[in-house]
Amino acid sequence: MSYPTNVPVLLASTTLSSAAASVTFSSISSAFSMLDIICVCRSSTAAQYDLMFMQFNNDTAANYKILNVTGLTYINAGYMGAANALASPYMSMPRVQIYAYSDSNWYATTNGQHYTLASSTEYTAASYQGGGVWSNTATVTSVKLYLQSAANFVANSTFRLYGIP
Amino acid sequence: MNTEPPIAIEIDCETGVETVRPLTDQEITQRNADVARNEAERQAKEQQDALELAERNALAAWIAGHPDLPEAARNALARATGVSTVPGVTPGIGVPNG
Repeated sequence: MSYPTNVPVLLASTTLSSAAASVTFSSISSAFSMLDIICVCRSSTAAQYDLMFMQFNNDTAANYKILNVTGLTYINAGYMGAANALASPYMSMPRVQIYAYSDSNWYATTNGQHYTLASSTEYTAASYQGGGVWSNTATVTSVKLYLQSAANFVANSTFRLYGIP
Repeated sequence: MNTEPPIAIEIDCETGVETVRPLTDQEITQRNADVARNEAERQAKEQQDALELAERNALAAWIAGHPDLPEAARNALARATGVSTVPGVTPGIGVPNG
């Protein structure tokens, strides 16, 4: 499949019709320099916050690193409001870029951001900036998104994957 | 405990086909382990938070019981330990980076 070389390309998109534990993008083209995942979502866990985790190529081994922590089985992809936060239609929008995902000279490395208005009394607003490294130079062909709490992404959560030339 | 059905969504970026499937046995095992770990971490955090709150309250009470304490010392002590000297104000809590 050929893609434009001067504009981002929407590779896949889904809006959940019912709650789901994970969302996986598979058969990702290697034709881009980076990937950009944009989410609009909430977690069903009974807490103020949840954390979205990310794994590549079904690798569940301890090959991931984040700030000050090595040997993880995931990368943090962003915080999000959960069941005990302000109720829907308040939402969170974790966004994460995956750099060098198809460049065997480098480890795939991520950078993520989000903003959440979770409560009017505590954690009034939270923003996040963080990233991680997958200690593998293989091309990333699939990305799995799931929740730290092992809860579900709620219905109407939306996930989009873009390829950036 | 979450009671919603554990399903996984997979989207093939080449074909656009979206597949909805139940979690595999391995995924369910991992998920249950995550739930147990998260619950243990939550309880440990709650205990730590309660301990730190009790310590801050004790310090705030001690400061309040020493009106002769110089204001500069009072403020420095409060800042160093996260105790507010302004009634009704709680020090901010941030969300850590990844």
